[in-house]
Amino acid sequence: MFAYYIELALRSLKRNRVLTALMVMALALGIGATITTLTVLRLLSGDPLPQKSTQLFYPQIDPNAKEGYIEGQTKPDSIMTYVDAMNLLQAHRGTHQAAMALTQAKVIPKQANARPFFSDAVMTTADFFAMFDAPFQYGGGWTAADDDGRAQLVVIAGFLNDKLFAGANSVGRVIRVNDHDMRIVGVLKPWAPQPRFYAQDLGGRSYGDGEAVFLPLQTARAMEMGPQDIECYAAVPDVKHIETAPCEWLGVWVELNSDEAVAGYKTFLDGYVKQQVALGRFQRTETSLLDLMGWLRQEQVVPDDVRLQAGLAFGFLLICVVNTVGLLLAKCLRRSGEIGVRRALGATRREIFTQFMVEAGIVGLAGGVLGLLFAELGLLGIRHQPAQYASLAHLDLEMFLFTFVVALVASLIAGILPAWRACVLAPAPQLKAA
Amino acid sequence: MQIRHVLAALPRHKLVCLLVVFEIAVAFAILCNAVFIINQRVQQMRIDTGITEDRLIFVRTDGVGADANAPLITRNLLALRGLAGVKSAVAMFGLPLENMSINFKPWLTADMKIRAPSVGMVAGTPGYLDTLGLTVVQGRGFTDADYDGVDQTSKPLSPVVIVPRELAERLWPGQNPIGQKIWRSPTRSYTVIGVVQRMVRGYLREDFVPGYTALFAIKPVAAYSGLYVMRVDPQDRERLVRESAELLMRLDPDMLINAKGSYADARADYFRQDASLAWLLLAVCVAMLLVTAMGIAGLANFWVQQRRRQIGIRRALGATRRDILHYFQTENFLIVSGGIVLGVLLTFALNLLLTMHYELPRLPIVYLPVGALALWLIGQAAVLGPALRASAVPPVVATRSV
Repeated sequence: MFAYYIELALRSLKRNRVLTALMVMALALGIGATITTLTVLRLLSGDPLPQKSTQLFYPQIDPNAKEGYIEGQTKPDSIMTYVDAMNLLQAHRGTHQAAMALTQAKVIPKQANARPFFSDAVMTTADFFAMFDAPFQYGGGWTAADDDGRAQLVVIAGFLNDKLFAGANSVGRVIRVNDHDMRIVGVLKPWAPQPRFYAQDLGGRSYGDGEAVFLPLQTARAMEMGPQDIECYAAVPDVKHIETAPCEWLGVWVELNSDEAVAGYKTFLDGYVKQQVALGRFQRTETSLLDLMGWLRQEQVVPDDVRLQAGLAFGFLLICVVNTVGLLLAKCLRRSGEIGVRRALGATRREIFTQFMVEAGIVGLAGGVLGLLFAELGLLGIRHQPAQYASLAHLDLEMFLFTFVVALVASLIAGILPAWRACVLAPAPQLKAA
Repeated sequence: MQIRHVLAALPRHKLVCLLVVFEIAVAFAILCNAVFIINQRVQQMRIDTGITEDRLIFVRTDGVGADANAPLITRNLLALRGLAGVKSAVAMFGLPLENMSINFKPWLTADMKIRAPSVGMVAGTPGYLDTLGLTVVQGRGFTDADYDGVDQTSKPLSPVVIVPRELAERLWPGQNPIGQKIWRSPTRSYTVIGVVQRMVRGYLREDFVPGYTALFAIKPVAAYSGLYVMRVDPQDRERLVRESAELLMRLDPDMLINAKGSYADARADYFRQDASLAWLLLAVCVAMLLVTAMGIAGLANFWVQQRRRQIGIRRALGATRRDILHYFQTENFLIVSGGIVLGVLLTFALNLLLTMHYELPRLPIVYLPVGALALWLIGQAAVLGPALRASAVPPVVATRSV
């Protein structure tokens, strides 16, 4: 029976090729636009560390002056002073904790004729790698003792290792960073959480290959490497000594493995701030301890432009679906004679309904196939855009399947009204009119 | 007369009519808002930076490291000026739209009670106003004696500043800005010695006024002299970008060149994302209007076929071809008008939603009549073919049973 409906539907669609082409084309355009923007939206709002994100927390406090502070409403600052970051680290309240800032490392290759180049770099503390599950190809991270001893050590990313050492095990070799010789202790496997949650608000890029060089915070500061972003909340006597200046430039992450640990940490953080207020360092008591996804939501990582595009695409899809409804309806009304004959010959309403839904479904599938083509074209266009995330825009299997679900659902929704109209037609008047 | 006929017939296919009305309403709302957003972007991309853009090229380097190496900057500038075609060369910080800026909020009184809005810092070595093509419209420009180094907190030591007219009028409305002072710390004040017509900051943000900048005079220093800007003839730009970069790399093999090019290219780069959004919106609008037009044409075509008999009867009863043509055109006009009425409501709802979530001003009313006109025209264009076909239906059809 189903095969018969398909045959009927194809015959009906063939009878009016222009109208069919119009429906398929409109649906395909709408689906193509929607899938393109949804792929980008999903890419940008994804979980950067799915296995760990529920255990990673971002403490925030507020050292600003009292002016403009409304209790319970003013959000604490997104980055921290050196003093506070070190106090939180040294309290050791989490399973792991690390402070970090982004910087630019000038890498000078040892090979003759090779030009020096800038690399994105992270200056951080020992727990960084264990806390963020950064996988090592060779070697490992540095220790807390190396942090304190300002050891001249670096961890480099796999792609930098490929570039400088052709992918060989380079642990123990020396590279020159900002005119200092640094010994490599570890080489990471390809690792670049998207978006780079820890770079958020530290002045770094949120998407792309990831940083090339990781070095101990104290070591980097001793080499006068400066943070990408720095926010000062009072007049600055001296920008060279940002450890003691009233300036914020570090992000702190804490790993907490249970609800009790989270509650405990929040209490500790509140207590710490009250203590700082008592000491006269702080005037504001607001604190925040968001988990990773909560932090990304608050930061509104997804660019406004992308949301706008997605909204627009959905509006467009809506128009395309309404358009298809109209055209299907028009087609079905023209065939009232045919429906009358079929009903008179014994077809039930359900059968007529099914027949029309099959026809709508075929339009939907055709729209889906063409829409997929449009989506691939759209993503090709996105990959040629200047945005940081551009190169990541690819259609994955899930989105591929989702395209057909969207197409089918859209066309079936578009088909319900005409199909219902067709099946409620009384056969007798139609036969008479014919 | 005609309108009454059309109105009487409309309820006969109200479902399809309502669908078209809804489709046109959504299209209208999206069209108005999208064109508004496109216009906003285009306005932003057209910003006047105040400098002679087509005569400037730049090479951005990582600088010379420590301040002890500052003489290298002077050496590099001398060498760059030696290139054939380079009219002048300076090292500076704060080129308009270079995608970074140092901003500060100066105080207007010594007791630090009154604070100005955020101002972008511009600083350059001797002659940089001329190189950029900025002309002093009031007061005087910098003299060689004005140029000095920077302090511990990277603030210029030279106690003079030049501001664009826009900032002068904001800070000292109705007063002579020359001789006025701004403070960047309790101990560091700057006296306004001149006013330039316009100068835009390095990075635009919704909460910043683009044309609020302050121009300082500095000697070559490590902190602010990594960017070399040269004034050249437009036809020499490409060659001199290449030659100046090669020259700098020869002078200092360890120097890193982050970016180089003509200023016009850098400016286009700055707005590339805005441009691509504008193009995308435009493409979606065109596709949307196309789909809407196809829908209208498809339905009108269907209606014509459905009513061949009625058309024949009307023709047989004396209606002219023109009458039939007008009938379908009027019908389309009424349906589109219905869509526009609903669309106006949707447009405002959508605009309200957008202003709540994005930094977007209210939609000016003028977009509504223009959008309505566009949809009326598209509707008429879409219905013309089917309506002409309808008017070609011969009266004899009335005598046949279809």
